[in-house]
Amino acid sequence: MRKFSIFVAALFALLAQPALADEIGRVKNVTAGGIEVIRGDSKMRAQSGFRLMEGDIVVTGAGQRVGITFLDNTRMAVAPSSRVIISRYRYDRARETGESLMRVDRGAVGVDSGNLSRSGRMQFQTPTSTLGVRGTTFVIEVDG
Amino acid sequence: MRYLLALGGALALAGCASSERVTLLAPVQESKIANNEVGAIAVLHGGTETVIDMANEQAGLRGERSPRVRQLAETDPRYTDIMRGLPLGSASENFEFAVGQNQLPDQELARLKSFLERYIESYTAYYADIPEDQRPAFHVIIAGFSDSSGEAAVSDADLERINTDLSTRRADTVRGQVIALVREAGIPIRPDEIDSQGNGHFAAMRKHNGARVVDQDFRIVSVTVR
Repeated sequence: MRKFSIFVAALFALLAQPALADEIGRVKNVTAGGIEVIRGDSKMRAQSGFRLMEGDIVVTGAGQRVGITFLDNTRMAVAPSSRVIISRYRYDRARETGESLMRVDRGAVGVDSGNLSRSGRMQFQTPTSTLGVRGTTFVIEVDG
Repeated sequence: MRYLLALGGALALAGCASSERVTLLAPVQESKIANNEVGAIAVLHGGTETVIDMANEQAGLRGERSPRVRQLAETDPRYTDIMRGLPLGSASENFEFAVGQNQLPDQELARLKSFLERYIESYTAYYADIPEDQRPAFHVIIAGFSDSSGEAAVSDADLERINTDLSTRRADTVRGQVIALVREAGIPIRPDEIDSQGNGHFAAMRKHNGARVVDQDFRIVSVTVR
């Protein structure tokens, strides 16, 4: 009986607090119809509120745009006809530390960096180059 | 032959033109604007780096070769257009527990209500061009904290666990208060968009250089909305 009570209490605790585990950011403002997110072998349609995970690939078609807010308060605007791979994103919100590595394969992204960039462990890649971000606002373009 | 040379020259020029660029912009975030915080980007190449650190400074990326750096006279309108796609920035504020209490007092709850309402005003203005039913949902994160105090006999690992648990309970309690508050006040934030987390004593440890200190400043929750 006691074990059952503990199980029920644990279940209620889980229900009481929505899990944030694995979520690295959310799709916020997005063009009507959403955009495509590739996760592993799956292609998903991401609307506002979609929870991104490490490894996701964000793809916008012609005329599509998406704004993303990451856990460390980094904001990203992905322009039309772009492809961005979130290769690595780790952020410990209690310690305010972590690292990220994102690759802009094509298109353009605008970024207003958040807490991660203050530690100097936020990096972006393009097909040819690697960039270290130090607390700043910028646009990366990769012509197709 | 002449045509072949011309074609070769054109291809060579195309090869030199950089098809990848990074451009630093003036800050758009209020706190960065206040501190004139332009920041910097380090372009890593061939075991070294080239840093750009001025607004409207642009680096043409060339892999292992040095980037081509130039200063733009003004912000390219294309960049202004791209940055318009950023989501609204987040807002955070701290709220204090009274001594001996594990719930926010009414005065702090009133302040929290006003904080959420102010954010909603900014949100409405920021997303004015987007139809109401397509605007992004709010996300509220309530982070609890604790000070770094603890008996000398308690191990560091146990103290970390105890204080993380304490801060989690504080955050969970305030989450319940916020859910009730938004429901009563008709604030359009869904309960499933209100999360809580325990941040433990790490901020207190940073402030006190790792020492165990009783500090009322950490009897708080930080509420972030974005």
